[in-house]
Amino acid sequence: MMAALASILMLAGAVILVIAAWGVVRLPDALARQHAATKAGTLAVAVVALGALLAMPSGDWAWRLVALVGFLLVTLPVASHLLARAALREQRLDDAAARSPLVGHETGAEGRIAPRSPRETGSAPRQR
Amino acid sequence: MKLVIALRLLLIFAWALVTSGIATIRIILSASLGGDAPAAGFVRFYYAPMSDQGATILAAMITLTPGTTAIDIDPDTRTMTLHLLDGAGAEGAIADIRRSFEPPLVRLFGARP
Amino acid sequence: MNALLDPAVVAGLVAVLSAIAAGLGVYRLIAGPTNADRIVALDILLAAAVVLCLCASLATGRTVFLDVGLGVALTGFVGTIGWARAVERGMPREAPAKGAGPRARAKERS
Repeated sequence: MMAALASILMLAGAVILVIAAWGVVRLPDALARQHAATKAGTLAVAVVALGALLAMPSGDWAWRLVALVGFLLVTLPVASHLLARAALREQRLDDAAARSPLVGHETGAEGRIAPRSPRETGSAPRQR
Repeated sequence: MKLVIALRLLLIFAWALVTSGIATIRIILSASLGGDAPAAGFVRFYYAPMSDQGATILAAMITLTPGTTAIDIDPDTRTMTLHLLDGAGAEGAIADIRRSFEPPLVRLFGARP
Repeated sequence: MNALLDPAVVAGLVAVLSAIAAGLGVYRLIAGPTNADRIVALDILLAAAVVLCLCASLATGRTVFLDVGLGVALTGFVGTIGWARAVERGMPREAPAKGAGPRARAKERS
């Protein structure tokens, strides 16, 4: 039973990995491809690792697999964010991002934007 | 108390990873089967008042929600710029962020003085 | 059916599938119109490499390859970050020429 579940999980993870790679080939631009590579790719590794954990239930395997998946989870947002910024720069979309629609309302205590502190207003506008 | 909130946040984090992966896969498959890629788009929104660490963790968690990636945080105006794989679902995605991610983070990292 | 319960056999199948994924990644690495696309391809190759490491350790039953996978994940992350920063900070405007070294880039920036 356990072995069957492990096999299913590992194969499912491999299929997810292929779909992620297919997304990297098929999606229209680098910003969209980045979603496929980071999120689906990490999910694929996590599912395969879970399957391996079920296939080899011993402490030696467990802590290494948990460390591997944990590390990938922590690095996923950072990698995704930086790849998105790089793609933004390469595709000259900086302005489109800066002028994108502003959705919703402020959720501050008084319903307005928090006043700027002198430290922040003193800083030069960031180079785009 | 804070530990409980942090643990719940960790669970939400893990769940967000699974759903985001599945949603991304669905978008890839529908894009390649239907031949019609979704129109990606950018959106900005105001995030709840919290410290810089809280905003960073919020950005990390947003990156883990389906089809969204945080691109820029502006602490001066308290806005965050997101890239959406499915530009049509912007309102829903932001309502989701407000509902499930912001309350525990605000409790942990509090309003900025 | 019973063969599918053997971790080593499953590991072989998973290895074949991740090799396919790596092939798709290589296609994007070569074809990618922008440098950002190539870094994204690098990321998917990294995921495939980690899965292949898992396969190797399942097939041999030794944990050594898990350590290798951990190392691949660590160094690959640093590589992704480094390249993404390099692209974001400004490569040459045109498609990077073959001989565009650091000096050429510095001249471009000034």
